[in-house]
Amino acid sequence: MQRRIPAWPAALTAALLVAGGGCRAEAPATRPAPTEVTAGAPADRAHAHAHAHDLHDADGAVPRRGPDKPRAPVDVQLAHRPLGGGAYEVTLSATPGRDVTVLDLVLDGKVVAAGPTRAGQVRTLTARVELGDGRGKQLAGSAIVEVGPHRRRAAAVTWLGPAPAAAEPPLTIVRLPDGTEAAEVRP
Amino acid sequence: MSRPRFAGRAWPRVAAAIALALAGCGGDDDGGSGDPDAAACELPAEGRCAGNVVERCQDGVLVTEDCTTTQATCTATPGAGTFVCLDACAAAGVTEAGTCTGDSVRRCEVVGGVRTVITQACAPGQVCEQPDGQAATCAADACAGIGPLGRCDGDRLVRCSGGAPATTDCAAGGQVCGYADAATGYACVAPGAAFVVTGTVSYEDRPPLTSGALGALAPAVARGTEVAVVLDQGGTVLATAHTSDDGSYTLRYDAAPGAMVHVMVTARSTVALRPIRVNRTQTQVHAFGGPSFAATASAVQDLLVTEASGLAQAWNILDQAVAAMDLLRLELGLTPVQLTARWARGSNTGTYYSGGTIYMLGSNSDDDGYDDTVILHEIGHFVEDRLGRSDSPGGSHDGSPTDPNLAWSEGFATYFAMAVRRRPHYMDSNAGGGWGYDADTSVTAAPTGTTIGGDVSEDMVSEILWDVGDGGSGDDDPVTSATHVDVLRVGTTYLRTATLRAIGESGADLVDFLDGWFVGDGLGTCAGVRDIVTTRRRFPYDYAGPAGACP
Repeated sequence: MQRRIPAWPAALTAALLVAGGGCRAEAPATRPAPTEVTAGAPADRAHAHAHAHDLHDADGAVPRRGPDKPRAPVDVQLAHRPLGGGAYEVTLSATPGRDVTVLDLVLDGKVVAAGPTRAGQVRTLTARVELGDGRGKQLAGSAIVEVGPHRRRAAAVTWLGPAPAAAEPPLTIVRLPDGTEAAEVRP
Repeated sequence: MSRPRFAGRAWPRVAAAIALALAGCGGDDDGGSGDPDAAACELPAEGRCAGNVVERCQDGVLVTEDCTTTQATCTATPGAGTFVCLDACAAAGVTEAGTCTGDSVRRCEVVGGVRTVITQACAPGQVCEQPDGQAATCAADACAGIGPLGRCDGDRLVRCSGGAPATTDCAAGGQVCGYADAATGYACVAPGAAFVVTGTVSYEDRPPLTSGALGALAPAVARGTEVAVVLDQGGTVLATAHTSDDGSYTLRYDAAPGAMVHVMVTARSTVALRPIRVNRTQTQVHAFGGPSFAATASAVQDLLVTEASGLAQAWNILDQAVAAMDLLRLELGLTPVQLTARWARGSNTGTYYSGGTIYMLGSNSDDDGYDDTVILHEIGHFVEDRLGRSDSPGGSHDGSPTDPNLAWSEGFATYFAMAVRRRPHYMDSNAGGGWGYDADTSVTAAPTGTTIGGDVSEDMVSEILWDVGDGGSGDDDPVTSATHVDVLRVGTTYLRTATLRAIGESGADLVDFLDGWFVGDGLGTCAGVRDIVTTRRRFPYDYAGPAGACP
């Protein structure tokens, strides 16, 4: 279902809670439940050598899924738990898929350099976020790692507070002259 | 004005120039200087280059020839490998006035005291033009906004002919300007339909920034998109057309006078030159409808596909696909084949290519609908699959050294995106902002000690391809004479048809591209390619492919 995302409340306040003055190198003791989709690379790298001449199965019946787009070699997850009074503790977890010399965690406008991190090692950043007006808010977190001379970033989002009502626009199916169905949206 | 396309490289001229250069190589009157006091000459029989000076043995005596004195370049002849002073411009048949090669200007310039072939790609929106007897230059595309279907300005038909607009007054022949069909486009037609509606179609775009983040909303022309008049009651389609490249359309239709109708634009093109559809589901194409109006003799309806409608990204995907199709058709001379794209707001099944379809993320954390280079990257895989060759084993890839076939496929796809946009940037936005890099200025080296079949980064591949294909006076690498079309053509010709050399990793990879590059371009760029590939990036290509050994 499509979900319409309202603008962020301007009066939100956030407090970073970074364990030990920096990122924690382990998962939080009481792990909050993840609430939404994440984006990042899997920790392991498939390295199959079964070369196909194209991207189809041998029988040509079902196309084989090609590789995903270029990714950042870090898996990112966001989780949160309510603290009461419209406040939430939000935890960003970043797990590089390979050893990296640069790992920056970004959450609610704050950037923390976690530094060199081994593959599979979890780095976390926790923030306290308050919903001043009681409305829901989408929060994004991300992790940046170095890839050769470049930087790549993976991101995740979570929704804090009341979810907005689903507002999928009404669709009308119009049949085109060649028989194709057009899913028409009319504002 | 002429606008030549498909101009090939002129290797016969190279052979002639080399013959002339070799003819001047014998005897003491060749401009060289012998040193009678030198020890017995121990150079290879073919001689060698010492900087830009030819050194060779003649009757056991060292003879040198400073090529700079004639603005020539010390180089090896293809095949024989004899070192001579060669006028690179004469060898390529390139003059100071230059010539058009696709949408690039190829001219001769003196760089560092040496006559050098410089190829300058025209900026987006420009084409290479060369009026009779004049120098080749990049100029605004006079046909921009027209496209392959033409357009109507009232009852005047505007088509692109020979690189310039040509206008026909349909009314003078008792006709009107209208849309004939997907094969013809706009034409002078008989005045049959009772009503006409005209207007423009645009969509809200968020242009990618080089950081990877997206820019502010800005309207963009929806070119080549199907547009229809739909009867409100019952949803019957009364007429269809496609927008011209300026987004304009003209639709003539019949209906009961006063009947309520609306204009609907669909995210597809059924034109054979641009066979593209952007679907919401496997079978349903995205469509956006305008307000209702009463059928009347003449109406104007401008449509803006808004982001708020949840559909704007579909038209951005269509627009990227149009750009890619036009490059394949106009620059590479290929026949377009059907491309399907799948995107929907909320889609979180990944961004990837499979079986003629590109799938794009539309999730809150990562929506690729505005990510032009990500869209074109996936179209690059489509090009490999349908018009070239791919031996990618699949799997995850993140820029780290990986399987050579996978690195080649991904690096080529990223480079394809850059070549279509004529910009060296890859950008991928996400909820955290995104990331991007510049393939022209960055250097990703192969791992220390890697072998010719060893794992490499896809970023290294895309950087190499960009450096080989770019050019111009300010180029920061030594290959200045090639174009991106030359690079792409290796993928759609050599890699598609050749029996690949059994070296390194089996299947198409960077080694096979380099083999194909020298087969298509000759050995004239050996030194430049070696600088880009091996000196800067440590990739141990052997420079001994089917085109012969580089000196």
